Formats: sequence, structure tokens, C-alpha cells
Amino acid sequence: MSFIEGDEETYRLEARGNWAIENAKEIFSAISNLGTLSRKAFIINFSGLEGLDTTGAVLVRRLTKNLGVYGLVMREGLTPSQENLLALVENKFKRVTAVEDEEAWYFKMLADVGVATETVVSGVGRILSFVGQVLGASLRAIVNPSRIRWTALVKQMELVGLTSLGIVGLISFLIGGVIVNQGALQLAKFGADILVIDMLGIGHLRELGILLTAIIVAGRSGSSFTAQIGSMKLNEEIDAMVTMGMNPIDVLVLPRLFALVLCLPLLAFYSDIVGLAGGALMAWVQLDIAPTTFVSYLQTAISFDHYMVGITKAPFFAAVIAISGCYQGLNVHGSADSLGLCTTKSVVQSIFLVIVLDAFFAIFFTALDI
Amino acid sequence: MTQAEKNMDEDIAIRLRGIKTAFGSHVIHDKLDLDVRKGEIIGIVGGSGTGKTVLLRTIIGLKKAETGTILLNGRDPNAFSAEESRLSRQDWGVLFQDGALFSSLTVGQNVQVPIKEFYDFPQELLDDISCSKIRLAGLPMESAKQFPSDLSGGMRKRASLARALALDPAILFLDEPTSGLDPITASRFDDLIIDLRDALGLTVFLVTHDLDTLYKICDRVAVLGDKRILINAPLAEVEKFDHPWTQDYFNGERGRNAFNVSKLNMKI
Ligand SMILES: Nc1ncnc2c1ncn2[C@@H]1O[C@H](COP(=O)(O)OP(=O)(O)O)[C@@H](O)[C@H]1O
Ligand SMILES: [Mg+2]
Repeated sequence: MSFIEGDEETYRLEARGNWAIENAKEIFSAISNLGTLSRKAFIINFSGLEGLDTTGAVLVRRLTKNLGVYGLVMREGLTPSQENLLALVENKFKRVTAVEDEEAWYFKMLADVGVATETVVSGVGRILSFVGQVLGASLRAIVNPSRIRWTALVKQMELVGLTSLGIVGLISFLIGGVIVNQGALQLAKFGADILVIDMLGIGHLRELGILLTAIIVAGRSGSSFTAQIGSMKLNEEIDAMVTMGMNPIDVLVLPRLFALVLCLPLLAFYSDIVGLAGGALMAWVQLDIAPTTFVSYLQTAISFDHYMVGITKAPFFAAVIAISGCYQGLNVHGSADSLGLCTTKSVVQSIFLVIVLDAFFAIFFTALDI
Repeated sequence: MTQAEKNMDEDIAIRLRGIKTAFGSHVIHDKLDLDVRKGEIIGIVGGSGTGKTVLLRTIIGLKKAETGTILLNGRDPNAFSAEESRLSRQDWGVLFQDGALFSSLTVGQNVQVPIKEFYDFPQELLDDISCSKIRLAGLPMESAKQFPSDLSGGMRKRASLARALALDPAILFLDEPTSGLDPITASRFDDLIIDLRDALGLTVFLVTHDLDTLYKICDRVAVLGDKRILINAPLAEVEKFDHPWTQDYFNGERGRNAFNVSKLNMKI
């Protein structure tokens, strides 16, 4: 069925059929295919129209505008309500695309470089100022403990500490077992399989226990900090808080920071014990070293310093995870996309920083000969 | 069934019978009946928390009714196959109370989402349609490129209306469309709804607190209270209806003012 028919002689066009959204594609191409018309005036007759909805009206406007390039356009045969609809749709119309216009690629490239540089520089500035604010608020809270929100703190400790016991324990136990299992195979070649206990003790207590725990907590709690604070930001809850005279750093950041700083050392200790237990079990099964022998050998072979090195790192890792989680949460703005992006960033950033920090600690402790 | 009754039935866009909804043990509606005729603008009023939004969500299928039947244009949406149910979405547009725009898309793209879901149009036509709907809803053209978070609350309402109108639905559900708008914008909104109804024969299910809107555009008013529709009648009858909330609402000071203004408008 043809929706428009033109007659070159009489300058008349007939619009027919149902000009509605379900036929819009065909009508659109019919309008586009009208081609060049060498006429100075046109009359479009709409009396054959079966229906007109707003999309149809948009197409009528389009047809009128296209023909208007060649000459005068008149419309006839529209019912009053159809006229009314056309008037609604034609009201001060100017088409705008739904997305920003693209720049030429060479401009875009330069602009991208500029934007990226600016983002990095201002990002570093903002993160430093955030760390400063958090430190200031922490000091004020420590000097004046009545500022601490105890309920929120205990709630967060439950969320980040207690509820992660299961996963931290499981992973530490397995890793402890795997170290002994794999280490013993290699060391047996030198007839030194008992040394696997030294390896487990030093490796797990100094590095692996705390690193594993920090990475699990970054994935579990760091991301949930960002998501919680970010969705509050989207909901304008943070703005509401500020207008009520509450400081989001005191209310949202400090309980999370303190909870993590208190819980991560405990979790690291727990991970150490469970990891050693996993190793002891594996040593018993694989090397036939009885748990009592394991423990007494461990006591003579491993100095307390190794344990202290691991645990000392915990509060620092905790601070890095909590601060980057909260910072990214407060960075969320506008849309759900931004929430997703900031959550990803928070996890990647905190794991990266934890590993970098761990490398610095390794250098530091080696220099101190511990 | 007599011929007259049959014609009546064909005239009904929304028919609710014995609807009961509840959240757990908290019953919101019980034995609720409602008929909305095709092409009419029905205003749903009731105190805050009486379940106007829940009723709207029940009709469009976002909330399951515990008991009762819902007929949209004579058909039960619960009996639809998955594909029928998808296609039936074209038949109604919804303006949610808080706008519910997609935050990661521009306003223009928001309006194009439902169109793209059902039709495969060239981008030029999509832009043409979405811009027209945006103008139609009374937003400036430039809004097409903006993100919902860059708009004011009232503008977001209008953007959401533009999206609700995208597919030229037969039934338009509006949840408090004029709340939070200034009186002049609200009044233009009302004009727009009437124009659209006259031009397209829309049925409009309008939840509102705005007395001016009720007086200006609603053909009938349904009062929600005591878990059901207390009365569904033209405004003149509802005003006289003997129920404490209704009396307070229509014959309180604000009600009287709106009534007088509407009388004044009629004289002019
Ligand atoms: N998701 C939900 N869960 C539990 N109760 C709800 C939920 N949504 C609404 N309600 C309850 O239903 C009642 C009606 O709510 P609503 O329809 O939003 O009121 P209104 O008439 O102001 O639009 C309220 O009492 C509200 O507490
Ligand atoms: Mg509501």
C-alpha cells in the first residue's frame, strides 16, 4: 500500500492510510523517496487519512518541511483534532540529536589527552585532600571519643569482620595446605622435607596470611562501602545529611575506617592460625608429621618477629581499603553507570595499593633486618 | 447479555473486580471495584498512603493482586503469553511518581528506548520523534542531550512524560504528574493532557492531589479510601458525597478556592 501519491501536473499529493507509529518506517522512506520536485507550490490532501497519531504528525511535519524547500505548502482535509495534534508537534520545532556531536578525530585525540591529564592531576589532588580530611576527623574522634558513632561502628565491625570469617578461614586453610603439599614435594628432592614448616611459617605469617585477607576484604567490604555510599549519593541522601549539619566523613567514613582498622588485624591473626592448621593437617597426612611435632618444631624454627611483621601491616592495609572504598563511593555522581564504574575502581585501586604497600613494607623490614 | 450491556463492556478500558492486594499481612486494597471508560480522564484521589500508587502498579502488572480480576480493554493480562504480554506494553505508557528515567541515558535516548524496543527505525526518524515528544511534553529542545541528573525535578517529570508518550499508548497512567511543579507549568501540563486526549482518544488514569487538575481536566473522580473505591462519579457528585475525608478534601478552604477558580474560568 502506498502512503503518499504525488501528481506532477496538479501539484497535489494525497496522504492515505494510517499514519501511525506502526507504519512510520514505510512512511518515512516514502517521504525520503519523493525526490526532487520542480514545483513552486504544493497541496497535500489528508482527507484519505485513516488515522494519525503523534508519530504520524511528526511525519506530516517532516513532509511539509521537505516540500517547503521547493515552494509553498498547503494542507487540506485535516480534522480539527488532527490540526490540533499537528500544532502541538510543530510548536517551535528544531531537531537536536540525542547525543553530543562528535568532534573531528584529531581534535578529539588532543582533547582526550588533555582531559586524561587533568583527571589524573585533579584526582591526585582530591584524593590527598580527602585523606587529609579523614585523618583530621580521625584525630578529632580519637581525642574526643564521644564523636564516634558507636552503633555504626559495631554494625560495620560485624559486617566486615564477623561475616567474613567463613571465607577468610576457608581460603587460608586451603592455601596453608597447598603450600605444604607443593613445598614438601620440592624439598623432598633435597631430603629436607621438614623445612616445609619453616617455609609455611615464614611465608604465611609474614606475607600470605595478611595479603590474602586484605585482598578478600577489599573485594568484599571495599566494594560494598563504595556501593552503599554511592547509592546514598545518587539518592541525594548525602546532601540531605550535610544540610542537617552532619559531616559525611564523621557519619559514613569513620565508622567504616575504624571498623576495618580494628578488624583486619584480628582477621589476619585468624588467617595465620587457620593457615597453620591447614599446613599442619597436610603435613600429618602427607609427611606423617604429628601435630604435636609440628607445633614444637614451629616454636623453635619461627621467631615471633615473623608474626609481628604480618600483623603490623594489617592496620595500614585496612586504612587503604577503607579510604579508597569510601572515596570512590563519594565520587559517584549522576547515573547507575557511574556507580558501577566507581565500585570497580575502588576494588582495583585498593588491591593495587595493598600490593604496592606490601612491597614497600618488605623493603623496609629487610632494611631493619627483621 | 443485552446489546446495551455489551456496548457498555466494549467501552471499558480498565475493569477491576474484587481486587485484593497486600504486603504480607498489611492489606492495602480489599474488594476493590473500578471501571474506567475508554477516552475518559479519571482522577484517582485519596489520602497519602491509601494505596493509589499500589493500585496503579497492580493494574500495570508490577504487583500481583492476591485475588480479583483485572481486564484491560476486555482482556486479562495474566492470561497473556510472554510474547503477548510484551506486545501489550505498547498499549500503555506510565509516568512513575519519581520519574524513573534511565540515569545513564540522555533524555532523548530515554524517549527512544521504548521505540527501539518495538520498531527498527532509522536514527534520523528516531531523533525526529524523540525531539517532538520532548517538545510536546513542554521541555526545551536542548534537554534531549542532557542527562536526567542535570534536570530539575519538574523537568524530569516532563521527560518521563515524553517517554510515556513515546509509543502513543492507548492508556496513559500518570502518578502525581503535577506534584512539585509550579502552578503555571502544572496548568500547561493539564492542557497538554486534554489536547492529547482529544487528538488521540487516550484514556488517562491520573493519580493526583492537585484540586486544580481535578476541576480542570477530569471527567470522573474516584475516591480511594477504606481499602476500596468509595465513589467513582463526575466531580459534582463526588463533592456532595457524604464521607469525612471527601468532605474535608473538597469542601475545605483549598477545595473551595479551586472550585471558585473553575467557576470563574467558565464565566470567562
Ligand atoms: N514495597 C512495599 N512494601 C511494603 N509496603 C508497601 C510497599 N509499597 C507500598 N507499601 C504500603 O502500601 C501503602 C500504600 O502506598 P502507596 O500506594 O505508595 O500510597 P499513595 O496512595 O500515597 O501512593 C502504604 O501504607 C505503604 O506503606
Ligand atoms: Mg504514591
